[in-house]
Amino acid sequence: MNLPIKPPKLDQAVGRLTGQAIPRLEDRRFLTGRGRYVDDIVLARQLHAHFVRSPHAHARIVSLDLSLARTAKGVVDAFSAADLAELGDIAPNWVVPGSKVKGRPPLARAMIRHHGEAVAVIVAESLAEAVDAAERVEVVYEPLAVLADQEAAMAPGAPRIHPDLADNVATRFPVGKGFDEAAQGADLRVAFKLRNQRLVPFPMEPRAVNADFDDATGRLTFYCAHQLPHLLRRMLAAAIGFPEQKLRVISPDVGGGFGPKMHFYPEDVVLAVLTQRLKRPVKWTETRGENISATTHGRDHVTHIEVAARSDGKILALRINSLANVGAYLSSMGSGVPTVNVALFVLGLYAIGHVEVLITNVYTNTTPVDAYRGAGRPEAAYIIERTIGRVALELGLDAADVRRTNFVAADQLPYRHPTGIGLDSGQYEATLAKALEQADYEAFRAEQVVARQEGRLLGAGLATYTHSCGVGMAELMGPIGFDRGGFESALVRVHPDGRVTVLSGAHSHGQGHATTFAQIAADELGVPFEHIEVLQGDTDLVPMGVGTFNSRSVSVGGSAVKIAAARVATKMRKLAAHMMQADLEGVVLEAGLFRTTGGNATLTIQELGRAAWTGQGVPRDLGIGLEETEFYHPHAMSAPNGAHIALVEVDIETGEIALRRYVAIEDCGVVINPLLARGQIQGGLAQGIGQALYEDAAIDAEGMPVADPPIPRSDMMPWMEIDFVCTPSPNNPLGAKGIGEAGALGAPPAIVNAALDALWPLGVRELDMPLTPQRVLAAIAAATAGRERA
Amino acid sequence: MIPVDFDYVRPTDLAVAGAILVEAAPGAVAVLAGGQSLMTELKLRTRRPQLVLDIGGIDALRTIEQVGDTLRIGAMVSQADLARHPVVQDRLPMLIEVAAVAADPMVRRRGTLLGAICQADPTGDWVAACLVLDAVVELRRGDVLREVAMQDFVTGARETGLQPGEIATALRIALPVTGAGSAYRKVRHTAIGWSIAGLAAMVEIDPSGRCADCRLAASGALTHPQRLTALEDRLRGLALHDTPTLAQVIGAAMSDLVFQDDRHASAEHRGVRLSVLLQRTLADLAG
Ligand SMILES: Cc1cc2nc3c(=O)[nH]c(=O)nc-3n(C[C@H](O)[C@H](O)[C@H](O)COP(=O)(O)OP(=O)(O)OC[C@H]3O[C@@H](n4cnc5c(N)ncnc54)[C@H](O)[C@@H]3O)c2cc1C
Repeated sequence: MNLPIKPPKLDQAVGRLTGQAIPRLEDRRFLTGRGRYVDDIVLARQLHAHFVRSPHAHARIVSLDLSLARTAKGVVDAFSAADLAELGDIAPNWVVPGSKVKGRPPLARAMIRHHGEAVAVIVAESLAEAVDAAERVEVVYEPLAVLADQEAAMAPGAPRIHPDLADNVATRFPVGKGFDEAAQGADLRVAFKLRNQRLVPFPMEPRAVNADFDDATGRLTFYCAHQLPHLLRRMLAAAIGFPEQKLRVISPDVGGGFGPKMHFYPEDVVLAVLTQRLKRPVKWTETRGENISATTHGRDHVTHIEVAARSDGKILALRINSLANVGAYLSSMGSGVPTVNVALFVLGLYAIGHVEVLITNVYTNTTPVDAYRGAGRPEAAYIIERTIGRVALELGLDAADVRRTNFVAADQLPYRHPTGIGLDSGQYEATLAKALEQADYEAFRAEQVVARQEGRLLGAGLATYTHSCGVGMAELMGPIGFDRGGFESALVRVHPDGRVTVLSGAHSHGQGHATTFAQIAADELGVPFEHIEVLQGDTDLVPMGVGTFNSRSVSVGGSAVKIAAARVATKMRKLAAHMMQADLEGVVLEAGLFRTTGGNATLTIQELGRAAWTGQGVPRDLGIGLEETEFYHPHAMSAPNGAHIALVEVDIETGEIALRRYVAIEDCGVVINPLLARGQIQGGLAQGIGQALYEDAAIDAEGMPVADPPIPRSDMMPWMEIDFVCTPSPNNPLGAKGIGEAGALGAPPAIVNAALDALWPLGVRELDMPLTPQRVLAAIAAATAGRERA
Repeated sequence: MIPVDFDYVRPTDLAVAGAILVEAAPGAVAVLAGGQSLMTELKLRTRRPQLVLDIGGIDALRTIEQVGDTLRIGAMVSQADLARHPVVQDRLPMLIEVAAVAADPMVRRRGTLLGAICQADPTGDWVAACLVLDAVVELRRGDVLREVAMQDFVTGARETGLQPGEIATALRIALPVTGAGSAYRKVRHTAIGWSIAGLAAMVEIDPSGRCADCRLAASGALTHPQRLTALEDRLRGLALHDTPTLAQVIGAAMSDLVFQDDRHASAEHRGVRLSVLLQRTLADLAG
């Protein structure tokens, strides 16, 4: 992964709007209930689709009869896999070399491999009629033994989820070697096991599709709540064999994505085919029940860790063996997220010389697992931060000291881990110090001692994190089997009236691009912020782009906006200089008016815009118009990082963990809009805290995910103490790094470390998430019983 | 999440509603009050009535009246309105505590007290509180009226003494004499905030600090909301400040109870949580 890529020169100039906490332009619309989501779009002659889904997680379809459903009131037609025989399995978009690929079938053919897999689809004039007709579908299943757990699926002689494969292994991904040699002579060697439990992602808006084929023009308009409109167009066109230029993906307002909305799903291809067959628009909006078993899940690793350290806490070597449950099929990024995105990141911010990782992707009878806020990096952060925490507790050292002992030193930056991952910039010690100070760490430690004497259990948990944001470089994505571009597009157009349109290939699904991208463009163009409109999510309108994931929108998409806007600004100044007969250097634009520094000539942006778009009085070599397009292709990614501290109190009688304080200090480089950055951190923390304390897909022995996953609500959240340090990234023109995933990475290890810090004196050594009171009490009881036996 | 087809009526007259119910086949009609339980059941298609009888149009059911030392709460009084009522604020602070922890403001705005009682959910907070308040349910079948004490009305998980054709018209609560302390405490499970152990308690303490009388009911922990009568008996005369004895008495009473066991909490954990809740609440009420 070590490529000689030259970073571009960083433009340190920070404009007037960049860095300001400007409220979101889009909030007025959203808060007054006037957002426009896919389900709000009702087309003429609209049809509605309803999927019939398997109640079993593993079964053979003995028979399937749609005839009664087809004759039900309002039903236009009903389809099973046999009726859509032209469709192949959904091809994943990231295939780690060596993976045995089993894609999701659009509709189950003979076998059911996870709960909620669709076996048929009913299309009716109204949704109610489609749902009624579904009760008339007769399916006979022969239930088979369910393998929901990856350890069970790896047991010798385990039944195979895909009988044509030798076993249930989808991918084997080894990285590094040399643990045993490096571990020799270590003062401490510990082995322990962690579970990073499976989570069910829950955007406020579920997935939704409205597919509209126009027989007259041969065009297909595909409305879809999605994070990657252009990539969806490519994947969909390939899957259904449709000319890409005639396929238009419109992704209007999107109510949250968190990863699952960047994947490509069975329902997408089915609806695209149905609208062509029926020549009418067909709509499907996911129910929460479908959300739970048809939309991809997140995480689900069982990890064995071995660590060797010196008595001063310096870690000499790390060995990780993880079984990743990828579900019944490989979803879009299903092979890469649990392997590349975990294995290469397990060293965090620490200079650890030797690491040996083996990750095995395992097929099971569960919903496919794919990228979910952090996409593999939360798993990596959990592994390394729990390891550091464990080393500190084992050695009786302060958790902050052990981190300092192992940090990559300032003079080592930029640094490249033995796994190939780069750290571009940061101030790891200072960031941690700021977090410790904010948390009154020393005072808390003193209080902890006193509390212990009173029988009260206080604990402090630390976690730092890092990952790579701003994917990325085509040169790196190819070799790891990631079939998408890493660039982002922007088109900046100054209209004759001086107003500005920014088109961006990134796609906001709640992040607020309409505001941040306008800030970036306003600084370059010198036009009023309110005169800029940012448009996204329409492949007929926006230049070919990639989309929003990996906290890449500002660093890649925003950089594209900055570069395109800067080019337009240069052209505006040249033209203004010509029109005012002044020197180029002397031309300034402020609030829509050009001036010259020497004389008192002025020119309005409207006069300039009219000239540019008529060409009248414009030298031929300046060309027509004020419009530039940039396809920004990064040379390197950046490594945002941060230090989180959780202070908890465990109630020894009830097992409840009270999160007394939570501190997050983030270095995401240059912050374009601190208000929105904070929002991203808070949202990520809510998910991270949810994972630590509450959430679990809790798939039962029959392969059923929990019906009401305990997702955190605002009244379950602590006050979040958030602050920033800023080390600009040298790797993009904005100096930005990425912030969307921070909270989801930092919170789980910080909170579990805190709980273990509190419970360690009782003899509790490990605790798996979520830290439910019942689990905490059980761990205390087991430790007490263990002590009494000893 | 779409109900099966059903007919819908919204009479304004209680007699009309009563007549519809009496004439209907058992199970064919669903009474709709605030809809906070019923709508979910309809949408999940676990209830498939032919007719939904909305009693929201009957103004006579919307009153709260004080008759002497009794408060009479009509079937369409929302939980939110109930918690705001001056007499409740003055004399029934336990119901205010329930309103603070049962569901959320939107549910309480629509949900009725009687609806929650008729639903008799195993985790029903309102049910546990009304058990401790010794409330009485007024029922009506056509022109025939009868009344049933809460203890006899809630017979099991989602099981009540409501007979076919009957409608609950009001709940009567005898206002407690001053001097008794009360509390409603609840351990929520994190999914949607229902209780895994809830405790309604009313305790009278005599001048020596002993328990003169008490009434206790649990929600969420047991198979359905129930009075903890055996424990009540053992607590009378006990010094509630005597923590070890209190713990012992509570522990002994727990062993006779049958706890719910599900994904949200094991039976054992529910037992622990109810015990701790009892210990802490009684200690608080002892002052
Ligand atoms: C999100 C959510 C969270 C909740 N959390 C809690 C909680 O924490 N604690 C808690 O205790 N409850 C909780 N509830 C439940 C809620 O308090 C009650 O179920 C609800 O308010 C019942 O009252 P209703 O008026 O809405 O009844 P409805 O839903 O209209 O009716 C409930 C049932 O009772 C019957 N019924 C209603 N009124 C009468 C009548 N007068 N005569 C005969 N039959 C009748 C109906 O036919 C139906 O079967 C929650 C509900 C929701 C939706």
